[in-house]
This record gives sequence, structure tokens and C-alpha cells, in this order.
Amino acid sequence: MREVLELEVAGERLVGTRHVPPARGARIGVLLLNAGFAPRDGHGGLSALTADALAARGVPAYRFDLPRLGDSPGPLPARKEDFFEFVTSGGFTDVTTGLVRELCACEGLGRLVLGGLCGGAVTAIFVGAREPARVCGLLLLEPEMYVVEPRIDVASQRRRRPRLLGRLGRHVFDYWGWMRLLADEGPRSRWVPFPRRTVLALLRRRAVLPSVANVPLVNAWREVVRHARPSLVITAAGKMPEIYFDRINDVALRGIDMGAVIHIRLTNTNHIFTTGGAIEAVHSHVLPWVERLR
Amino acid sequence: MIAHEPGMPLCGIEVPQYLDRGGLQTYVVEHRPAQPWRAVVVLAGPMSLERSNSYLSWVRWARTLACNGFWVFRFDYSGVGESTGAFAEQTFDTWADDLRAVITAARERHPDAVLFVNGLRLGALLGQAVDGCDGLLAWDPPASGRAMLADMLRRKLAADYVDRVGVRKTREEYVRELESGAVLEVEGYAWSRGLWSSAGRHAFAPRGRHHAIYLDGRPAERLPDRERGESLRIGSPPFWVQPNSLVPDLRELFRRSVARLEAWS
Repeated sequence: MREVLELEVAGERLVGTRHVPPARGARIGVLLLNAGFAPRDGHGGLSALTADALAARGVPAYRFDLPRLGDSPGPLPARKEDFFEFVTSGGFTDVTTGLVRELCACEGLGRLVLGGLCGGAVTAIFVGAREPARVCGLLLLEPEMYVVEPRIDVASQRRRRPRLLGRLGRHVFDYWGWMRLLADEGPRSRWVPFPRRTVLALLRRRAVLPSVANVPLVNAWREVVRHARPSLVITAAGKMPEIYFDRINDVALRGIDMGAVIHIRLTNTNHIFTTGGAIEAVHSHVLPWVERLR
Repeated sequence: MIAHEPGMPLCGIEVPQYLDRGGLQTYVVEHRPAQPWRAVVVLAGPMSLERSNSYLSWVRWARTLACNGFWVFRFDYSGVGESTGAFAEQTFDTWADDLRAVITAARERHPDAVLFVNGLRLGALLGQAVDGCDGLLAWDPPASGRAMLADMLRRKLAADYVDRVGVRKTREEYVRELESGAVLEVEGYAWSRGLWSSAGRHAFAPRGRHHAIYLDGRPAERLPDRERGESLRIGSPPFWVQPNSLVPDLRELFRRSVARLEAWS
């Protein structure tokens, strides 16, 4: 059964859904956050179906629209890039921390598993590091550990690069264009003859964080792992978030025991898990993992 | 017209709730205007990923209506969004039942009010399949249910190509699979034979007090019914396919729609 739940947190009205288990009295619940700017049910209903499945197994689950998203009111930047910059810089950390505290208090829960896809995973990491007493586990779907593609200042780029190269030159020097090619996410990837995997493996051997690493987020993630907080990470195999996640972990978590982190790689799916039966695959990993935390 | 922009104070209160329907829970949000109001509008939205993509604009439109003196009910179809039910068991007919149930609930609450349905895509098709409303404002109605699903299958083919997931098939192959009873994953949702066959029973044919606004900027000669339709270009891709902006410029659509609903009420 689902119920509507409205909470006032830090002056913001948040609209959410409670998935009620057959028996009351659970001490651990699960809170799922918005995937990017999608409403709280998630793409393909991923979050709603996961929460239903958890509740059926006796785990109360909650999904909330953060301010500005879904049914929760608030100001919204027009540009997607500005929104992602807000999320990756931890813009939802304060309100989500307040939400975790409020939920634990009003629902009688001792601790929560916090999770989400993409931007939801980013916020979950920030909050998990800040609120260790109440967040007992992280469910991270496609966490993006890098900052968003920077705004392109066309005028300054033209000044820096020889006009002679023109459009071709802009493509040749486009960092994100190359990453999309390597990650096999660009429409031209299939026509590129070089061995992508080899180039990616060479990049991973570098001992420094990539310049686009979201350093505050990486620090928060290191805190979570260092304290052996149980974390289930699920990524789309070979896609850009996974490539960065691996590379950043190689550098940032060197020497740290990662025994509490489980990393599942789903093949034949996309970033939002809407192909290749990924939603059912997510359930098959999430449900037993959460049950072990109870 | 007052256009509600994100961050502006709400023009009333919003009440999210569940409508219990014998084992089904239909998620309904009421936008109750603070000022005196003129009519009730039931918003019937698009399906599946089109719902996710359009949600921010759809909520903004509901808030704009409330600011302009309309009492709004918006809802989720069974198996989609916040409403319960398995998507694989849904058809155009079960979704039409959902719309009827919300209209009935709105009528019970406001028995003497004028009531309009405003549908987007799937909602526009379903709006003409139900009785009990005093007018239908259809945003970008597909020619038929099959045409709409074929459009979504085209996007699935494009995604198959870009993401290189699984074995690539043609649209005809996918349709054959559906017709043979296989469940097909499209944009994360499980399509069934029942969904496909029910789509064949829905075609857009405006009549009476129905009015369509096509959002692809098509010329007047391509309007199926010039008496009951108009055209407007809102940019491509449209906000239900891939929002380029979180707050796309829909002022002209909102202005024309409010004017139409005001004229009817």
C-alpha cells in the first residue's frame, strides 16, 4: 500500500510517498531520491517499483520529491547545466539531511538506507558522509563522480585555438567528445577504429584524479568507505559514470579496505536503466542486500 | 493571464492524495485556487517516459491554471508514476477508466461546476473516449493510439542504435513480437499485446466541443479539422520527448489554452 506523505523541512514543503509494509515496527527504512530532475517514481518507475518490492518484504520505503522537483514547489533554473551544477556541488545536502532526520523522528526509524540514481546517488553520498548516525547504507545507482561538462565559452575557445583548425579543431580538442567516444556513448563511436578499452586502461593507470573529478564528492565517498558503511553500487557496464567511478576509486581509495562496497555492473543497459531488463536486475541485487542490513 | 513560474508563491493549496478504487490506488493532486474560480479542469497527461519528461511543465501548467481561476485535478494512470498497478496489465481502456474515475470524483466534489478535460498526447486521445465533460482541450493529439506507440517504438530503435544494447531489431519485428504475445520493454515499461491491440481502438476524431492544439507548427492545410484545431510551434524536440530546458518557453501555449478555457466557461 502507498500513502502520501508531506513534510516541512528547512522551510521547504516536500511531497513524498510512503510504501507501507504489511507489519509495522521496522527499525530500518529506505529513502530514495530523485534521479536528476525526473519525478520521484524514477525512469520506468524504477524507484516506485523498488520501494514496492522492499515494502512487500517488510522494509518501509519512502520516495520524496526534493524542492523544485516533481510535486514539491520551489524555484528551478531553466538550464539543465545549472541544475546539475547545483546537485553535484551538494545543493540538496542540507534539505536531504533534514529530511533524513525528520523521517527517522516521525516514522520511528533508527536508521535509513539512502539512495538514488545519478544525481540522487550524488546527494546520497554527501548526506551519508554528513549523517553517519542515521544513514546506515548507501544505494548508489550510476553515481557520477565528476563535475558536469563545463559551459562552453565559444568566444574564448576561438581565441585560444588557431582559427585555421576551425570546427575540426574544436572537435579534436574537446575533452568530453573524446570521453564519449571512448565510453562508446557517442553516435560516432562505432566508426572509431582505435582500441577503446586499451586507451581507457591506460588512462586508469594514471595515479592522479582526473581533472574533472568532483573533489568534495570524492572526499565524502572516501569518508563513507573508510568507515566501512555498507554501499551497493550498480552501474551500466562500460558507460561513462562507471569509467570515472573506477578510475577515481583507483586513486582516491588506494589503501582503503573496500570490503563494505559491493559493485554490480549491468550489461546491455543505459544510464537510466530503461533497457536490457535493468529494473528487474536492480531489484534482484537490492532486495537481498537491504535484507542483510536489517 | 498569470503564468506561474517556478519559485512563485502558489495561488492556493495543493492536495496530493490517493483515490481508492477497489484495490487500485489512483494518485490525484488537486490544485485548489485561493480566489473565486470559474471551472474545473481535469488534466490527463501522457504515458510512461513522456510523463517523466513532461512532468515539470505539466505541474507548472496546473499551477498556472490555478492562478487563473481553475480548480485542477491531475492524476497518474494505473501502473505509471505514483498510481499502483502493474504496467504490463494496463491498456488504453483501463487508462480511460482511470480518467472516468477522476472525472467522477471531481463531479462528486463540484456537482454544479463546468468541467473540462485537458489532455496531452495519450490524455488527448482518452479525453475524447470519455463522457461527462463539458469540453476537451487536446494538446498535440496523435492521429491514433497505434501512431503514438509507433512513435515511441521509433525512439526505442534510436536508443538501441546509440546505446548499442542487445540485438537490434526493426519496428516491424517488435510489432510482430507484441502481436504474438511477448512482453516488450520500451523506455523501461513492459508493453503487452493488450496495450498494442487496445491502441488500435483509439483514433483522434474531434467532435462537439473538442479543440486541438498541434504543437509542431504544421500549416493550416494539414490540420485534420480546421474548425476544431489550431497549430503552434513550441520547438523541437518537444518537452515530453527530451526537455532541452527545465522551464521551456510555453507562454503562448498557456495563453491560448487559458483563453480557450475561459471562453468555454
